[in-house]
Formats: sequence, C-alpha cells, structure tokens
Amino acid sequence: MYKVTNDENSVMLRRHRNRLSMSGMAMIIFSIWSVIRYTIIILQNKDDYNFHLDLDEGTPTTVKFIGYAILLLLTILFLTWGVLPTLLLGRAAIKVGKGKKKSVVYLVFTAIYIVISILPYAFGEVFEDNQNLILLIVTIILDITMFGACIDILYSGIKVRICEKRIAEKEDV
Amino acid sequence: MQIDFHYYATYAAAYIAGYSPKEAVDIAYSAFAVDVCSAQLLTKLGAPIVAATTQLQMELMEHHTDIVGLQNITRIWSSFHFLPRDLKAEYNGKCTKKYLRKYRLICGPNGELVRDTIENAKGSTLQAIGIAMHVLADTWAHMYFAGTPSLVINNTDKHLFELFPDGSEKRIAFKHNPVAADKPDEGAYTASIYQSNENNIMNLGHGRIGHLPDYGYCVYKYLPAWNDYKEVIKDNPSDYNKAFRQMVYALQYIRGDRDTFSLDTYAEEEVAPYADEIDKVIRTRKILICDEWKAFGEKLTNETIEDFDIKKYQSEYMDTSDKSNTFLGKFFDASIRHKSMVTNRIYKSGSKLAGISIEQDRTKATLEMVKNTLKVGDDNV
Repeated sequence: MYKVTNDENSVMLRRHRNRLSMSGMAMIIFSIWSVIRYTIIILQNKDDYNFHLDLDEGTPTTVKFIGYAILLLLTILFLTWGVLPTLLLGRAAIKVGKGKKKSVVYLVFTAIYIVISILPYAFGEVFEDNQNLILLIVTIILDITMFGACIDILYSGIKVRICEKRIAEKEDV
Repeated sequence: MQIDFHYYATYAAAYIAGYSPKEAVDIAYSAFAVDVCSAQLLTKLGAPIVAATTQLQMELMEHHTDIVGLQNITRIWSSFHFLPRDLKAEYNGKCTKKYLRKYRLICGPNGELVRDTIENAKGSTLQAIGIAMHVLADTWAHMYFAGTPSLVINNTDKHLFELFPDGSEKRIAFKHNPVAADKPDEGAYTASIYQSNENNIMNLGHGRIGHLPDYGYCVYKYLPAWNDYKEVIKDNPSDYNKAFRQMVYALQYIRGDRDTFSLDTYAEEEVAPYADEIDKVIRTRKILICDEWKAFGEKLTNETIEDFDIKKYQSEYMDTSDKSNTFLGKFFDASIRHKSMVTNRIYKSGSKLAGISIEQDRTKATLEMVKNTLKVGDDNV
C-alpha cells in the first residue's frame, strides 16, 4: 500500500539537491566573510584615506563629513559588486536545492564567477599587497573553499537538472 | 513505545499466552518499570545505580558526553530501548571503523540479541520476563535508530511525510517546544533541535523524529541519515501488531508451551480471535491509548487492571534487609543481568561504545583474586 521512491534518479536527486543547498549556504557565508574582509582592509588603511582625501585637523567638519560619506558610498558600491553576486548565487542554489525553483541562469553566473575569481590569482595581483600575511593566507584558504563550493554548485546543479529531466520523462511514460 | 503498550498491551499479551491475571500484571509492571527506573529513583531507594534502565530528561541534560558518559548512555539505551539488530552488519559502501561501530547499533526486530534476551528470560523471574517484553516491543517501535548519541546515524531532515490509507501524504514540520504536547488531529508534532555535534544528547535515539515511533496509528516516511538518501517507511500499525503477536509467541516459549523461540515467528492463531479489536486499538489516533488497551485487557480477563503505580513496591524494597527477594530487588537483578549481556555482546563485536565488559565468571575469578590478595572476608569486598 505504501511505496518508497528509491529509484536511482530519485536518490541521486535528493543527494545533489542536498549538496546544492549546502554549497549555496557556503556561498552566503563567503559573502559575509567578504564584508568582514573589506571592512578590515578599510579600517587598516584609514590613515591612507585621510591622506588621499586631504583631510587633516584644519579641514572643516562639513568637508570631512562629505568626504567620509563619499568614501562610504564607494565602499558600499564596491561591496555590492563584490558581495551581491555570491549572495544571489548562494540564494539561487539553496532554492533549487530545496526544490522551490528550476533555473540554469545561476549555473551560468557561477561559471562566470569562477573565471572572474581565478583571474587575480592568474595575474598574481593577490600576492602584491602582502602587508598583512595572515589576512592573505586566510583569504587564499577561503577563496579555495569558495572555488570548491562554486564547482560543487555547478556539478550538483547539472546533476539535479539531469535527474529532474529523467524523472519527468519516466512520469510521462 | 509508551505506557499504553508496555503496560496494558503486555498485560493482554501475557494473558493470551497463558499467564494468570496476577502474573500478567507483574510482567506488565516490570515491562513498564523499564521506562521509569532511573538513577534518581534508584538513589531514592538506596538501590544499585547500575540497575538503571532509563535516563530522565534532566539526567540527560546534565550528563557529560565524554567517553565514559557516552558509554553509560549507550549501555542503558542500547540495552533496554534500542536493542541492536545485527552487531555484525556490514555497511553497503565505504565507511570508517568508527562509523561502522555506530551503524551496527541500529535497532531492529528479529535480531540475535532479541533471541538471546528471550532465551535468558526463560526459567527466570516475572520481572525478567517483563524486561524482555519491553525490549522486544521497542525493537519494533524504535527500529532504524541507535541507542547512542550520533548525528550521522539518528539524524533526519525535512523530508518527512505522514502517509494516509487513501494514498495521500502530508509533510510533517516539527516544532521544537519541549513543553508543547503533540496534536495528532492537527498533525502538529515536536522533535529535538538539530545539533551539529555528533555526540550531542539531542541526537540520541529517535529524538530527531520526536515521538512518532511511539504512536501506533502513525505511518510515515523519512530519510534516515544512515540510509544514504533512501526513504524508509515506518508502518507503525503493522509493526505494533507484529510486536504484539511476537510478544505472545515469546511468552508462550518462556512458559514452556513452545520448544524453541524462532525469529520472525508470531502467534497468529492465538491472537486471531482478537486481531480486529487489537488493530482498531492500535490505529486509534491519540497520543496515549491507555483507556483503549485497558478496556481490551479487562474485557479479555474479566478483571480490573490496576493502574501503574511507581510507589507500589518501594516500601517493600526499602523496609527489608533481604532486598533480593523483593519485587524490585528481582527487577534490579534482572536489569543488571540483561544490561550485562547486551554490553558484553557489543564489546565482543569489537565496539567499546557501551564500555568494556568482562564475563561474569571472570568477574568472580577477579573478585576471588582480589580477596586473596587483600586477605579480607566476603563482607568487605
């Protein structure tokens, strides 16, 4: 009377949906890390910003306020550019992993994101600013983890699509 | 399972198997006493703590989960509530030894340990028989879970559906309020919170699926953590019916009415006249069906079944010096023996999850050696 659905496709679908959800969560956690990292960088280089904005003790408060507001706006735009993609990718992966959404767009963006993220390493830009060695090491480790999560999203996302298609075909038959 | 099955259903099974109503009450009392014999009660009675057959929620909350603590927890829960089905089970795939040891503790009916439990109860006291019935019944209710805190074995996820006879299914979303009662009519149930620590108490037994295994009416499917993304269906009405029939069969064997106790064998003939009634009771959609089982038992025996009273035999135990011949004394003795047997089997299978175990005769030999070394009398060691 009661039946289980333990055919190969259903089991694989569950497995890869679960992996997709977990990797999506990893992407969101990475986004949070990015915010923390950029905040640390900004706080570390506060004096440089004061120098570049030509702010000193004699500068009127209004000018200082405008200067910092512009800096803040630029920081937010920069963070948005850096953080928003991973947030949206992670969110999409989690939704697909929970079976609430069907999409391939996030897979395309994941592939693009991987390529963009590898470029700084390919051109050695990451290693140029090595003032804070610990931060550099942590960044590299987390970037590797992020690459792993992105690759897992790609792999599991494709597997989920294949399994869903096969199950749909069987149901049609 | 709960008091409804362990006490009242066991009473009915014992009567059908041929025991007198008085004997059936004693067996039933012992069967349910397994769920209340905690270290707290034993301390109050001045009884050996090693006889504990359960741990209260507060005891578990305060319990350490270091190696010794985990062994203590596993000893109790695997012995009395989650008897392992197959201590030699092989995992279908690759796994570590650590995982395999926990995998082998998964509870299930018709295992070798159940047979050993029943055979050990033969020729023993009514208290030992009651304990054996509790253990046997729980192998049906608690199957697919292990009596050790383990996330990788006992965890479940949101893929959990209650199944109905008309073919429909409804997702069960647990609430995590330990105080709130389950509401079967609304499909509202509680379960323990997810804890990522492998050895957290929340991951003991069937905590992650709440009380669903203890509700006879419930049929549900879910993904156990150990089953590699494959669904299992837990058909409680069917399992509870089998548990009842197997209890009758086991009790007949213990009484001497049957020569052997075979696994996967049930007293179909003896239970047949009452089958429909029993099935109707089991499928009653309530959290506790004591009234229904009690009514069935009283109709069966034409006698009133006294309600379970935890204090019934306490004065007898506390007021006498010859404790081993009291009701509770015999119960504690039987529980120690059973726990020792199960712990020994788990240890012999190559696992120290329930601690280290030595054979009873070796214990005597060790005791003799200690006595001789210290040159003291029996009273002092």
